[in-house]
Amino acid sequence: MKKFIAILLGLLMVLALVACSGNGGGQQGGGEGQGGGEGQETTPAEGGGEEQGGGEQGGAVVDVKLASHNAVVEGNPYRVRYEKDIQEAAADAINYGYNVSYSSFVSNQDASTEQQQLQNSINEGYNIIMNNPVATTGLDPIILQAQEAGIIYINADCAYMSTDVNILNVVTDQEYLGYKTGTYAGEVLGSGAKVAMIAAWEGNQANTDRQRGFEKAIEEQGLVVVATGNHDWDPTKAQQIMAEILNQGTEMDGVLISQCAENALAAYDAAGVAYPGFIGFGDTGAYMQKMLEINKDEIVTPYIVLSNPPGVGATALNFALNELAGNTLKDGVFQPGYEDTHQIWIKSRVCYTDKDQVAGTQVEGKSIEEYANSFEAGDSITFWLTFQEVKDTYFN
Amino acid sequence: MSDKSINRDFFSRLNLFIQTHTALMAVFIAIILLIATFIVSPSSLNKVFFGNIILLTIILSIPAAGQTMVLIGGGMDFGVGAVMSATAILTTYTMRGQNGHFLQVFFIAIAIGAVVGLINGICSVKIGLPAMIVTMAIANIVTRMQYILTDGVLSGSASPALAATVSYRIFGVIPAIVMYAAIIWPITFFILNKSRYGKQLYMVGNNPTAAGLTGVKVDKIRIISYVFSGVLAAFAGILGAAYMATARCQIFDGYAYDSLIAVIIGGTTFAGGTGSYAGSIAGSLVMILLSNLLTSFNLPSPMRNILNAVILILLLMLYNRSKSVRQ
Amino acid sequence: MAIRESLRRFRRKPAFTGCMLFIIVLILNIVVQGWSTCMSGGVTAENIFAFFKPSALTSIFMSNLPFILITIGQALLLIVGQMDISIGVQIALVNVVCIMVPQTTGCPVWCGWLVGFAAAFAISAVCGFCCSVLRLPALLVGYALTFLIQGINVLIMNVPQGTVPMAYWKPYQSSVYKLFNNPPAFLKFLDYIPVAALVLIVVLLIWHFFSRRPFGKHIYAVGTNPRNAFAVGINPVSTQMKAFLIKGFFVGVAGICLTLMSASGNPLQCEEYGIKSLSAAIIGGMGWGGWGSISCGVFGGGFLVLIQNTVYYFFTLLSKLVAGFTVSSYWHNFVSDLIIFGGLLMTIVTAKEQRKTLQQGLKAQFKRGEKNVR
Repeated sequence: MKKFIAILLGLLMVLALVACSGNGGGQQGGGEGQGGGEGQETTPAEGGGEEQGGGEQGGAVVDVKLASHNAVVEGNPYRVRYEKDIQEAAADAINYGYNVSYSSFVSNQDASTEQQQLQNSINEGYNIIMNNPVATTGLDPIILQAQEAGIIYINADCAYMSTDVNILNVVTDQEYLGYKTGTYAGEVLGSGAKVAMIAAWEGNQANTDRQRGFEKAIEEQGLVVVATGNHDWDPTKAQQIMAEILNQGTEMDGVLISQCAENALAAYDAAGVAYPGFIGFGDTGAYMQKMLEINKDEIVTPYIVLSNPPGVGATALNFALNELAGNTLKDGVFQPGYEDTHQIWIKSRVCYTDKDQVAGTQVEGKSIEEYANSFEAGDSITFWLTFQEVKDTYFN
Repeated sequence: MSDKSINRDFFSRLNLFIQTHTALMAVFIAIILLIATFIVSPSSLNKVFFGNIILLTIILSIPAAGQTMVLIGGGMDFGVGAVMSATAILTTYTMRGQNGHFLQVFFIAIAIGAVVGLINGICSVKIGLPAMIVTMAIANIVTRMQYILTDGVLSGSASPALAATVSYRIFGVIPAIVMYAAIIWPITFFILNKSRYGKQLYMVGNNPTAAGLTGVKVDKIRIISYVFSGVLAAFAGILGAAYMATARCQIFDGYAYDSLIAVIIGGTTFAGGTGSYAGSIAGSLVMILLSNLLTSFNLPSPMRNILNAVILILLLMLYNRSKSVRQ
Repeated sequence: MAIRESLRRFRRKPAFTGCMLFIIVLILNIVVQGWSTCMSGGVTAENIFAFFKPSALTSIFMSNLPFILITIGQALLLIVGQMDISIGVQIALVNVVCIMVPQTTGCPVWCGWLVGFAAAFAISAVCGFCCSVLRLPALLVGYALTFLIQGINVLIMNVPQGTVPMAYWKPYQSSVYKLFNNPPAFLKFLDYIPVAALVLIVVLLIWHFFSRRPFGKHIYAVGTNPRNAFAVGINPVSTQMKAFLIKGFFVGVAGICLTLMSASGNPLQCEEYGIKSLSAAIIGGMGWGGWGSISCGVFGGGFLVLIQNTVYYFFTLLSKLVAGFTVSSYWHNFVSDLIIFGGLLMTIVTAKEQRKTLQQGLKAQFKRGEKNVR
């Protein structure tokens, strides 16, 4: 009996491997309008499989193999969006004469797996290797190997801090996000106001940069931090920490939080407490829609919406394509103070506050209601620079 | 009698008392943590605090009920977190913020919990692999299926009606979730203490060979405990989704360890055969209060982690030590 | 006949389970990797055996040696009836110490390594103290210590940083052949032996030395039945503490290998290695106390490592076979976990021989007992 079960399950193993081919084929077709539920198929929303097909659009089309390495994708809507944007940019590149085929590798936050996958990519002969790394150092040997093999290696989103390699770091300006939020909070609440500061993951470079911005703004605006916590970019933890801060009954005028703002508000809902005097920042559809709902009739809770664009990966791809085209960088494009790690800080493009809601300002050509409601709950605001935009702004 | 022998007598009697009244000890620890919280942060004496603590304790006590049964039977269920996450996602996806889907969600969730519990039970009991590893492997598969079925995207939310039955504050303090507790707690107490199944469960955990010889179907009893655990975890997932309003993959994975620790602090042991649900409820309260107390210290993240670890080890030292070889 | 006899003896060893699973996955890996490479590079002898390409072999060995070493440590603890799920963050601790000590005090790199070893021994002693002396439940001690060690890691190194001089990591990441400056051609076969493999062999030899001493028998006695072992004069507490310290040695070596592999430090890595190494050891054939051997750990760890590699190449192969095939990484992980679960269940088939051995041993004990009574 036991042997029978075991053999049956051995067969299950093999069947699972085989079955995936059938399922993979099935997933190709029905990918379109699920509002963000396509996973990583070949057909992005508007593209249509141009990556692997032929580049029939005339001119000298260059075939480019792209390997996109990611530290994590599962459970992380930011990273899921990151990958989707890269796919869109890869499809868009055909307009500039590049037929980009896209493959994604996820290392699940494991440095060993990342090393191995990078090694495999070098062996498989990819033209561009883009990495959103697990750690900020530790890949020097493999980067040098890739460059020796003539591969363009580019780092996106989480900065790679080694000064011994010459690669581009295309990252979002995290310090600006923290600084802008803190400054606006100070403007709304005034000096001496009490705030809770909930940071993200301690030990992570993006968080360190963002917190630097927050702290600078807090000092400048004269805000007083009465409660702290770390949510590690985990929505469950964000709600839990906010609930525990509420439990303490400390008097607070506003909440400064490093994304996951919608989860902090859920804690307020669950506890039946009145909303805070200020909240910022968040960047998801759920957050934007919630703020519109709360402030429907009058501004109850001032807020700020800032974008931490997952499209930074797609932007990095276009940087790499420019490098492939042989274009040289302009002088002075590197972020002051970070020239030795070749960091290019892309500023957030979308930013609006409750004041814009009242004034009826347009965001990305739409009214704020339209714009907010065009997002799925878990989708974050994103944008990416096209090949031409990158060329015009950063290259000669 | 000399003073020393009186002292020794007192300490050994105290030790015996601690070892035999573990549930009471858990309540005592909870009270200490409560007092500590009020000392550190006097403004905690407010109705938001009490409401939140009661709510979270009740949510934790439901998977802890299942975990208690499994541990008493001599096993361990690491799949609690994965099942909770799965049914939480099911809830938000099906309801999509609209009222009226509760029965549908309820029955599907219970079915999922029962099936996963059955698989857990059969694999741990019949196939003879260590329960911890097997339930963990199955939990991994359930987690991966969450991702495949949802494509990693979170969408939908629990219906407002369901959220109200969990979070609405009666008299401004007591969360409405006590209604669910009023049903589940007595049922669990009845199963463990009064029913024939409960008595057999304790026998099986205490000495499976002897129990088998008296005609108790050891395997069936154990598998049923896993099924209970799966069903209770599934229901807790629904309530959890109502509390969080939205859900995403792996949202409640932490409950696997949390429920285990809550049950252990409540006096149940890994060896099986002893334990009570009252202790598990007290253990759940201890876990929630501990997490809250640590937040109120406003420590930076690494210091909070270190303090958490030290307190946990101290708690375990109180009465979770196995017998020495000399005894 | 002699071969059949030794084969039957091997089937009764605990490592048989892990060895069989490892060989199956190894063959699968060679086939899939070769096929996939042939599809993109053309069918040549080199591509068919792409698995054995020196760069591929070196890469897979040196990046996974830390995991294999801690699986060995976990196997040792399982033999004495303990376990440690914080073993993953412990190698992160060693890694962080090895980087920060030279960085902040300016002492030479090997000094930092010695301090790293000391840290590994210290934390293993703490874990052993809680598990053996205080007799707390090992699972929860490991869980609590994970928090403790992660907190300590971030206190020592707040953001990932640091470097290791090339003179140290270059040898580790190459094969034996490349260690020489101008090697003669007949030594080319050494290109197929990664330096990391040598490190593993040295560690196993060191363990072999320990296992030949009385300690090697005591761990089995203590793991099976501590009370009986105590009755015979073996001190279970000191045996278990020794086991924890030897595990500390494995952790130290693993941490240094991790440091050399990444040439940097990261305080928040490798947490999941704790549970993974436990699963790997069980798949390799370990039992819960008193049953199994170190080679179970080696084979189980190797199995898990090769599964990752195989699934990666399998999906690459499928995307080349079926035009336009891409599947989300969720399927990668799902298939990996399904295979691991399958591996766990397969252990019961391969464990049939061992259960027979166990039963025979138990029967013999009872029978002998009866003889004495008469």
